[in-house]
Amino acid sequence: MSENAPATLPKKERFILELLVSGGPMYGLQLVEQSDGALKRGTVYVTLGRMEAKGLVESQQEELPPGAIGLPRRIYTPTGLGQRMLRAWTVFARELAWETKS
Amino acid sequence: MIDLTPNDRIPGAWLLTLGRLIFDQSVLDTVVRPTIADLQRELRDAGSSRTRRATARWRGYRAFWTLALIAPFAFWGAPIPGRTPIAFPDLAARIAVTVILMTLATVGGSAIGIWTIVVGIGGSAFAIVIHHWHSRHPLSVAVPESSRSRRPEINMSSIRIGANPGGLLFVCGSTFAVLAGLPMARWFLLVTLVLGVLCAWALVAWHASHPFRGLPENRIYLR
Repeated sequence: MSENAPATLPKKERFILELLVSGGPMYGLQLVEQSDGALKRGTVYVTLGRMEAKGLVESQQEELPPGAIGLPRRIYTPTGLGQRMLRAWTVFARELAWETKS
Repeated sequence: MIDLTPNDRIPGAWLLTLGRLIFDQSVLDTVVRPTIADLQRELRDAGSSRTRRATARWRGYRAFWTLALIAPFAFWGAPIPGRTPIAFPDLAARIAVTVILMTLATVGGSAIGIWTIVVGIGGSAFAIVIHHWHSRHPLSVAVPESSRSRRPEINMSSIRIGANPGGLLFVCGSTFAVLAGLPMARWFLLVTLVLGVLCAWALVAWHASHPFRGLPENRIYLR
């Protein structure tokens, strides 16, 4: 992440991190299917690309079997930074919720 | 990953060709190719069922065109210097603006007369020249002495009209006022509405792809 960038975790990015941490590595289409409409096919890779640029997730191309025609998909995994960011953000949100309720 | 014979056309091949024209290489690898790969994967999973294949195609193509539509406004986390917009490099932006302007001239020419277009183009060229001249010879804006010129009047030019509900209200209100006074101009208003939306789209796209150029108040940062 850029040194000057504020450490924020937008809602969609947090949601993707939660899915990846709880469900393990996934393809973009799997994330869309498991999001119950929260993620869209036309935009999920833009968000994932942005998260990858921030260092929150990493991706690898799937191995194509010999003779296969077509493009390989990308499988996404949360990085250590992404997992720490999610933990910190969850704690932060919980603390804030407790404070606003009391 | 498609079970096809070499003679079959690969689904999404022309989308990929189109993507190469619009997007830069890194976006192509991280965003466009996976989107097309999903289309191909779903088509493979659909098997021989015509309905399922049609649904897969619809979803895949819709995803691609959604991506193409939002790409000019999306960023890898702007406004961070050094980060690039995800689509529309300069050449593509120029082509897009040229095409839009030619479309405006074609559509507008038949609707409101060729001289209006000529005057519009001439006025735009004049405005560009003035803008360049003003950039090189900046002037200080003359401000009247408020104590002497304070009058109880509504100064329309001092009302801030922006991309907000106030702006929408102003546009709708002024359009309705013109329509009420000049009902014969309804088609002209309709055409100008469409052209205005296209112009606004082009402007937003340009500002989004050049986040660090132009006046600070005109810069657009979208997540």
